[in-house]
Amino acid sequence: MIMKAKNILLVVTLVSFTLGSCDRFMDVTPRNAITKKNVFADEHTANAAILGLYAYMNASGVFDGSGTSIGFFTALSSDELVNYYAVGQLGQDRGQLNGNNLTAGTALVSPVWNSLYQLVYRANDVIEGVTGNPDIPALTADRIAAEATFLRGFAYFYLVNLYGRVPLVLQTDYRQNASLPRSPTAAIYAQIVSDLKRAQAVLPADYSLSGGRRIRANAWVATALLARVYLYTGAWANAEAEAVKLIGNPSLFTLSEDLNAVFMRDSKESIWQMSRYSGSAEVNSAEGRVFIFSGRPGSVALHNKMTDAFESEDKRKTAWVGKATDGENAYWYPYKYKATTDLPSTENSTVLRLAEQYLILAEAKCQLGKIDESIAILDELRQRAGLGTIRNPSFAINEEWLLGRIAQERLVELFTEWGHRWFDLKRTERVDEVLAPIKPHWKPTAQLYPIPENQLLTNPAMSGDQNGGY
Amino acid sequence: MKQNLRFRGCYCPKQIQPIYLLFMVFLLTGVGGKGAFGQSLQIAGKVTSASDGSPIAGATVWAPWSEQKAVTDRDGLYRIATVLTDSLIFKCIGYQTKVVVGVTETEVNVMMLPDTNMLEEVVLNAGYYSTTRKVSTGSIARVDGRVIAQQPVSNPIATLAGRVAGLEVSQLSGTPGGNFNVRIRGIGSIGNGNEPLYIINGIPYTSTPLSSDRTSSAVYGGRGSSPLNALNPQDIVSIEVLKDADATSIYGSRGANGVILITTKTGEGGPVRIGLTARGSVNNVEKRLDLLSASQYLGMRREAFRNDGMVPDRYSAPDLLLWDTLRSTDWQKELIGGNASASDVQLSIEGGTGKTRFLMSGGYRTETTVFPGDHSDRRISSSMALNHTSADGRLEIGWNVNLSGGGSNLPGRDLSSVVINLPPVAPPIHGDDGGLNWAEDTWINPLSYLLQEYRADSRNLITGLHADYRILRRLRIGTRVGYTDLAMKSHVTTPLRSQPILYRQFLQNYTNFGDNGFSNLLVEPQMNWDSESRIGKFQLLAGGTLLMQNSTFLNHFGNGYAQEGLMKSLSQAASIMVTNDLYNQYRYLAAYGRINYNYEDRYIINITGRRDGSSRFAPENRYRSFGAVGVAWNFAGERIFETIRQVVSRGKIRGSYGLTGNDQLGDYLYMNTYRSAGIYQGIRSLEPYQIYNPELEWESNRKLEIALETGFFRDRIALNLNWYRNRSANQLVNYPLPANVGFASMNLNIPAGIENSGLEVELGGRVLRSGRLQWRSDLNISVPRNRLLDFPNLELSSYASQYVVGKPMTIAMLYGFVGVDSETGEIMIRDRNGDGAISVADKTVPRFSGRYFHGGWNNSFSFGDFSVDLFLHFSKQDGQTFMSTYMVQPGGMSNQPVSVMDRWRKSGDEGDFPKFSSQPTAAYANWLLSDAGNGDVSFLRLKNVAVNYRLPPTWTKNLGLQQLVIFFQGQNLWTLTRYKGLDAEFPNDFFLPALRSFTGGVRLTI
Repeated sequence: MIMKAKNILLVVTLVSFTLGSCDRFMDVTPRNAITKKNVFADEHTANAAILGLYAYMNASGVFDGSGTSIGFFTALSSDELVNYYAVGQLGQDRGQLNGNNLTAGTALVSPVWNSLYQLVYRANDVIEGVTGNPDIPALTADRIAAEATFLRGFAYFYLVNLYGRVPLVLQTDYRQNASLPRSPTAAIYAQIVSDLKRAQAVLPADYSLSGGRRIRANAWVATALLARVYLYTGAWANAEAEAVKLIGNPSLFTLSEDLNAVFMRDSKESIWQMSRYSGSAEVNSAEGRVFIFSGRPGSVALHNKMTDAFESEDKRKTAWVGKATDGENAYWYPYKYKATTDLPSTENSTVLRLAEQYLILAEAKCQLGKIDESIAILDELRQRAGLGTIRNPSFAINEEWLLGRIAQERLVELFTEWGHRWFDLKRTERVDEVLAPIKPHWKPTAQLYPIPENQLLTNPAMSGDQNGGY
Repeated sequence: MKQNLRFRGCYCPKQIQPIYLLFMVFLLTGVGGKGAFGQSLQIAGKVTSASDGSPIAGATVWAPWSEQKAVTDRDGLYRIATVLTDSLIFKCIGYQTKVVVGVTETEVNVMMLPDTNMLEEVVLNAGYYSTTRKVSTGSIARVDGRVIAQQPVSNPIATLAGRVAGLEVSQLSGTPGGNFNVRIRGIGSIGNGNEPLYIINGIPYTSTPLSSDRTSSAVYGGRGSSPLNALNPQDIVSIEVLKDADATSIYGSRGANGVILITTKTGEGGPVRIGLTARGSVNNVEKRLDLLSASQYLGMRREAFRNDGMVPDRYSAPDLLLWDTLRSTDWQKELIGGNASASDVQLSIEGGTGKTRFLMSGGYRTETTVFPGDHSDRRISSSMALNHTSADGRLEIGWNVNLSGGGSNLPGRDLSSVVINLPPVAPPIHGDDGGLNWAEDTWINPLSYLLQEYRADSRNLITGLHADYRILRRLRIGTRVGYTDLAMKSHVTTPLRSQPILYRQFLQNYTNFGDNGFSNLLVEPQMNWDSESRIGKFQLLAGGTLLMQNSTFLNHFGNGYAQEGLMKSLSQAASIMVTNDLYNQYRYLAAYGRINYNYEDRYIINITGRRDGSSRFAPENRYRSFGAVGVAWNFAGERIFETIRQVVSRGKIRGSYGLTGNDQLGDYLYMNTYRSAGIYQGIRSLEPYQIYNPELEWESNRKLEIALETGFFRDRIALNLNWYRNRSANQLVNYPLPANVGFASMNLNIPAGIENSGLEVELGGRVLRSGRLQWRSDLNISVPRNRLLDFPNLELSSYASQYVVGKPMTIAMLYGFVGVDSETGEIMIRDRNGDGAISVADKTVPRFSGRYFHGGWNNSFSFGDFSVDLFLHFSKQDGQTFMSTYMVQPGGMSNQPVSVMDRWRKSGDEGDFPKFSSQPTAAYANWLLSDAGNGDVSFLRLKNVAVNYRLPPTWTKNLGLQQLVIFFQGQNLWTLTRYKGLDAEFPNDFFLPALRSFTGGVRLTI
């Protein structure tokens, strides 16, 4: 008995010693991940990687129309929304956004910076993964890279408009990126234009990639953003040329006659929408549930100045502005998006739409001195809102007056969408005159958001290079 | 059998039922049969103490074969009838058990060694081998099971605080199951790999919480539950803490942060004994915060609005305009002021014949919380140990199983986090209709968190089998096989009812589910070779380790429950999302060895080493060797010391130097991977997981130690001095990256070094022994010092604003607080660079938070059958002051400490605090990050009191008991500190502090 035990023990001991020589024992691979090499080794997984960029935009909370999105934050910073939520840290941070007294440490806002750069990283990673990759057909590789390039340009558009000068990251090597200084805004814009032009040239001129749904970038999406970028940089003729391409393609894009259908999934006014998922179900975009309320406001409501901005006949006021009352006072909220539940899914957050192209075209033409053409374009948009022409026989419309009309039209058309108002006030240099009277803490330096404190601490090349006033 | 039945008759609370089952199993198996009778023999003798020869009264004497027992009288005399060649086992509290094998004489006198860890014959478990204090070359501290069992806590780690020099233990939460911060000789790693290696009965154990962050983060403040909750402290026979290179190098890449060896009890053999311990506790929060009264609060708020020149409106001041300002609620009393109760029952059965020993035990513990409502935490544990030695003594086999199950039913959030902020005038908790009062959403009703139910169930199995065979006279071979399987399932419900009314239209009932697991399989073959001759004793050891470890983390989010009652079931959710799905494998392969040479117990040299391989590194960086040399010289044994042996009874100088490693980083970090991400366009997408680093390498730690161990006056006084210096290099860090890189951090080796050095002093001895009165006192003090040795290009790195070369790792760079402007009442922060603005560049004041020195002082008194242990734990330390936990400025809608009343009111005032303001100010935010928020948080705490009274043997005999002890145990009874928050041991007031506990109970042996 004892001898047997001894033999068994001897065998076990020796066998376990020999196991030590087996090197394959040490090679473990994760079960829920694949190596990057395998991702870009075939077209399907590479496609999944580019879709990962959109999925990230959904998941980050910054691009989804939610209460932490760019559109929501910038509407608080401008004169569109008033904050009514004052509880706890969130209440404090919202108060700072609304009062234009952000600090570099305001926790609520720093994800905007972080997520925009995450998007840039992911885009660069996909570009590097497909570029020159022999495993993927050259045309496909080119197309995937162009789609990532578009999203990179898109991210930089928001970075430069929210923060001014920012580091220009064009590849994924952290060793270089970790100590990149801020680049001048002109360099950022040059990169955006180049990225968008590449996307415009390479991506298909239809929605075939996304099966007819307008939820992925294509040549038209790139064109629309390019028109906006030219407008922002004062390249009027280019802005005009790009906007005309979209307006001149009624088979694909037309203004929606029904104002209640503009933000619907199948809207032909839409150029690019973000589709939103909760788990595996496609759901409504977040704007409706963020803005709509009854009784007294608990989160945000429209600024009175905003509701007063509509002409009395404006159909947009009835279609896009909702009213609530707590018994004593009336409050207003953005009602562009109607859905307050996830399902049934009918609405997508619209990033780019044709109405903006009308306004870009009108402004560009006006700046180029084509006053009549500009008026005609603007009237076309006003007509949809049930408003008459701005031509007035009693006086001749000059350029300055018309630009004021266009700005007013942009306010009532694009309010609480993707930062339009905040950026318009800044780029037309009216931000001080408009906001100072209604914001007690307003300082001209508040027009740029602070670079998050952590960014300055961790990037030695940016140490001390904070935006003014923070 | 008779005794067993009596046992059943006298004690039958409800809790004991599960244990009873175990007990029945034991009865059915019928272990513990009688041996053959030999020739009868009458033995008498005297039992005396080995330290001074005095008689020991009340010691029990067992004769296992004949199952006879006796107790010594006042003069230490006993008389017992047994059979020839039986063994005698002598046991007495306070002394080490003594076994006399094969008795043939009629008079057996024994000397028993006092059971104290200062004495040199105490056997120390060094993991792969054992040694004694006399011949050990390394730094090994031992905490005896008796000390562990006398503390009324549920987690074995809690019993170590202050008990071991060089070990810092702080409890991170007083919520049942909460985690601990455990550091052996400081912080050696910049990243988060500072946890010691835990080994239970030879099998590595996890230090990663099994609880799921997505379900428990608000319950435990993001720090999880302690994995060591699985172990019942009363099952532990000793905990050894290995500190220096000599002791830890044999653990190679896992030994850098020290090793904690936990050994559970095994049977000692002898006649069947049944032991029962039952105790009940009342636990509560020791301290009250000194916060503003309702009238002070209202005064503060109104003054704030006056200062701001603002008229309060219903949005900025619902407390002043909408709430009933005549109310006054003591939120500390309402939310954390309850008394928690705990009860704990442990039953054990042990015995065996000469060659086979067994122990079975079962325990049940249940504990409620100080929060309102019906919450509890339960643990049922059982352990079994079976050991057998073959008749020829050559084969030894042992098997042990520790099996436990835990169940927690807790509120979804630690209510302490809201206590400090809730205004005293806050609305009543319940409305007129009896439901929660939301006061038109002007506050978050704290009891809403009670509607969020956290429920966690765990199953824990730790089992090991070892066999050892003396194949030749000098050679033994053996193998240990260990298996650990831990699982915890948890969920936290968030019913719509617990959300502010306003948000209910956008939300649905949702529940987060967590399902985490950890398992490992260990195979460790080992060979030992011993030789003893005139030239000395040699011991050689060689072994190998094969470890396969899997960790799984799975989380689900269930949304849209139709009914609250269904929220505990995933399948009832309208939509289900997998929010986390990780399966991590870790493989580890190593060979280790030891060479020990001992010349007459005077000169000892010990060489240990290990070659390690870890799957956490790329193939080219996978293997590395670690090793250490330790030497010891028992100088008191030299001839020249003979003349002074009356004074210096013991003297040893030892030293060690060696290399250990640290591989505490995640798995797969060297791989460039994509993982699955959200769905878009109906397709499951992929996203990059991390910035990978194929060049990851071990972090190394070189440890040097020199120690002097002495005993004076026949060991009446013992003094040990330890000096150590550990230097870690090639720091493996989760390197923070600027966000523009794309990821917040990556794993990287950086050429930075950290030094931990320090002095540890242990002084102990018998203060008094007069008649039946004894007083023993033991003090340990650690003086740690930590500094960043070097960090090339620190100023260019992302750590530039965090660390300073030459300063401790736990400094923070803070703003300089100048004072309150006596003109304006504003906070003044020093503008270091004089650029007219307060920015990050002005954060230049380094302030330390951490311990300057710390330790414990134990005093044991005994008077006959009565004994008292008093244990003081102390630390001289700096840290965040209580005030700095107030994120809302004085004047905001949050209660404040009364100290804020010393504030600026009008021009010319010199206040400590700025003028009240209803609006958050940047200056206050900076003040929180200034040196004013850092200060002295030292404490002296009466950590443990244990009073035991053993009923006289004559009484217990009449009850049919061998022993009956009545005891009182107290934990965290009293604290002296300048810290104004709840718990200076862990100065952070968003969490429930470690509770004060009053415990009474009985321990009996049949």
